[in-house]
Amino acid sequence: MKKVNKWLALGLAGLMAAGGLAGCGTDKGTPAGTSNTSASSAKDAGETVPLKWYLAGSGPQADVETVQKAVNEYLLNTYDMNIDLQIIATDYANYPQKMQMVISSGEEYDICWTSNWNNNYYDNVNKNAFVPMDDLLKENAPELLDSMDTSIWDAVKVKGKIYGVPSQQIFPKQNYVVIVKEYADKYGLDVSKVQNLSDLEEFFKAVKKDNPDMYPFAASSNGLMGKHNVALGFESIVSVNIPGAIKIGDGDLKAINQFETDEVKEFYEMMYRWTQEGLVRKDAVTVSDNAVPDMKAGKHIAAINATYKPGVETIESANFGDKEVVFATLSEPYLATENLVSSLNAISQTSKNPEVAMKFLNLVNTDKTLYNMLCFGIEGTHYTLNQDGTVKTDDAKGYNPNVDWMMGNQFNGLLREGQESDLWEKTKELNVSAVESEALGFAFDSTTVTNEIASVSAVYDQYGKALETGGVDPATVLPEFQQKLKTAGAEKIIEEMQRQLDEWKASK
Amino acid sequence: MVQSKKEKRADRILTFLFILLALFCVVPILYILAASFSDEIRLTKEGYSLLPRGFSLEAYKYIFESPKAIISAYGVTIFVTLFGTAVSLLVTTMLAYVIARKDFKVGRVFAFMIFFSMLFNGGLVPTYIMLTKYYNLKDTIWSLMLPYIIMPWHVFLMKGFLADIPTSLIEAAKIDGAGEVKTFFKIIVPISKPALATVGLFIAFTYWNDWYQSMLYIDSPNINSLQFYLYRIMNNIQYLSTSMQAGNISIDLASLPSETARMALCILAAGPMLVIFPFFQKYFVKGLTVGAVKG
Repeated sequence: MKKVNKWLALGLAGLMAAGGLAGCGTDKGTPAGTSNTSASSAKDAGETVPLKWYLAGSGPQADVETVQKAVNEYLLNTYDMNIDLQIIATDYANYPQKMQMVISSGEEYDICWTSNWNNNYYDNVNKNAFVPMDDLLKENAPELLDSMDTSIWDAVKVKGKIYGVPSQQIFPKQNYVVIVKEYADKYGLDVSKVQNLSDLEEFFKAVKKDNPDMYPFAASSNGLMGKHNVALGFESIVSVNIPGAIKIGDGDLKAINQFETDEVKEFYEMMYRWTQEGLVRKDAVTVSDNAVPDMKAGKHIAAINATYKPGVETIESANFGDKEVVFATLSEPYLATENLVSSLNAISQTSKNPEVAMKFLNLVNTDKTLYNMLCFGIEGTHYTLNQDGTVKTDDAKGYNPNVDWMMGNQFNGLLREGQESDLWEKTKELNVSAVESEALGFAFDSTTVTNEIASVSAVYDQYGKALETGGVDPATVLPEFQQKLKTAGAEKIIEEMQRQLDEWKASK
Repeated sequence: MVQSKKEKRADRILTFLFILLALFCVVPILYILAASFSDEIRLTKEGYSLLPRGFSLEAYKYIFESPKAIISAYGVTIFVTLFGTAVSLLVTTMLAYVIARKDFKVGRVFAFMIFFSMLFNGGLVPTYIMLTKYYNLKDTIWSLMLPYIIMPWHVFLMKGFLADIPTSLIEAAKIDGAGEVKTFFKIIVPISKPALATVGLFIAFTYWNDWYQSMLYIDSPNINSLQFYLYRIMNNIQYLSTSMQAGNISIDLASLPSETARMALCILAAGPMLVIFPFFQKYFVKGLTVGAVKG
């Protein structure tokens, strides 16, 4: 009988555990819900409006609550705006999937970050996920509307309407090459005379001769085309890896297949020659991480990148293991649509208070105190100010999202440690000096050629990456690549692009 | 016991094979361990090796500067695994027992319903809507646990074990005056120990290895599971280095955790389990064999 009791007790314990679970389920539900309940009860009093903002980044910040509270207080005291801000930061890699789930389930939220490379802006607009904000902008955010050129607002329009606020930052794309200074000095390279990548060939050879275990020029599986396309003289329509491009300066807006141009062919030939001579790793196509670890370790002494911007010296120097570096730009600063939709904030269709969300975005982009609070947290708690007014951040303090360019107008931001004091002025100058694309504002709607795009991108993965990194001989592989692209539907894509380009030009 | 020559040879070959297999499992871990103690620059220059390239604790220092995240991730995963496994095992066994009983008339209907959900489920979005809008589980620790409480496959696995119990045993219990609940806990559960151990292990693995639920449902920084924490760090680096080339965004890649730091994270995340598991395994094996002899 004793044994029976023991088992009975166990069974009951099990049941109680199950019961406890159910109980806890509701209990635990409340803490997350508390803010909501308190918020909504306050709203009943006609006051606090909850505002949910989805952002990407390196992940959630431990001490985000303190910052949210400070923002709420600041807005209430300064603008009489009573909101309850909730920042939800997801990491870059999972952000697209998470947002897809949030959007397709019709979840209620107010603002989300979107772009052409993560949580796709155009796809979401096609899904009716965002509110057209032309009128909202005029009524609730005049300062924000004035802060940017009409050409910029026009460029982010989809079917004639604005669906997102671009975050002001460096806009144009200007390809450049970066070289470690000690080598440039040692081998007498005059960077001011470098105009093309091919000008560096002799220099690389000389370096290689003295340092046989080095591969002077960095290449990786991320391809070099995207970092070099302006220098090669074309602007891509969907992506540099998908056939379909416009030659820079072509006022007729003729869609071409960039993989059939002489410039690209010559580039492939040069890369092949360089791998044969040991200037580039033969297995570069297998290198991920943009080859940064190898650059740090001193295996590479030069690299190309897409966008030159003031202050890039610090970043590149860090990439090369804190060695001094020199630069040569390989193209003019060039402004295309893709550069303007690389970081936007949009208001959700499910938002109950789009006006408040718009007002909030207005302030984020125009009020320096608010913007810096969001970027860096609270002074003394999350960051400290140096004597020269630059910010010293500390990951261990619980708030350092490092996504200033995602949140809003970067020109309102405090400078980080090590950044030049005239950084923003220089960036603004560069933005103004950019050559505008003839197709600025045109955005390709790829819905009718989705299948073709998928097949050509598979072909690209097979051939393109190897060609770009010089792994295979273009004399034999390039014709095969071009043929395969055709079979995969490259021509249909380009025809569709041409049709849309003509239509767009006519409507302009 | 004297072994024949043939047997000895077979023994040797088997031992050799298993040593080889074990090496396949252990060597990669040793590489990671060595890399985590290596000097960053030397590691990238000279590549991986079984002995650390130089000796540096930088990677561990970097992680323990803000250990809050990894500690809370551990807490969440341990809690979800222990509690989730206990509850899931209980519910799964009860359900499997009911549909395994031949005298339960609608048992087949139940079995079909469970089987049906194995082949056709609601899909990702409806599931997400259900959990977030109707059950209000978003951003709670229960969203990591409840979705896995009953998994059809585990139920059928359990049912397979339980169906072998002779009906006469249950009848005998009935005649002796045991009610259904008592029969279940006193007769069925004790003789199903091997099954419980096996299914329990499966369930525990499901919980321990899960990162997907965290990705979908968790917004707060402090309820992420350990696997998700790791996945996030590894995946972020991969994603950033492949998808940014088109845009003019330049994220400072140098600020991301270095190679050695990533390896150290792996060790910290997997290490304790590596140490703990062999001890638990003893009990699992014991449970299995004891049951087998008795059953």
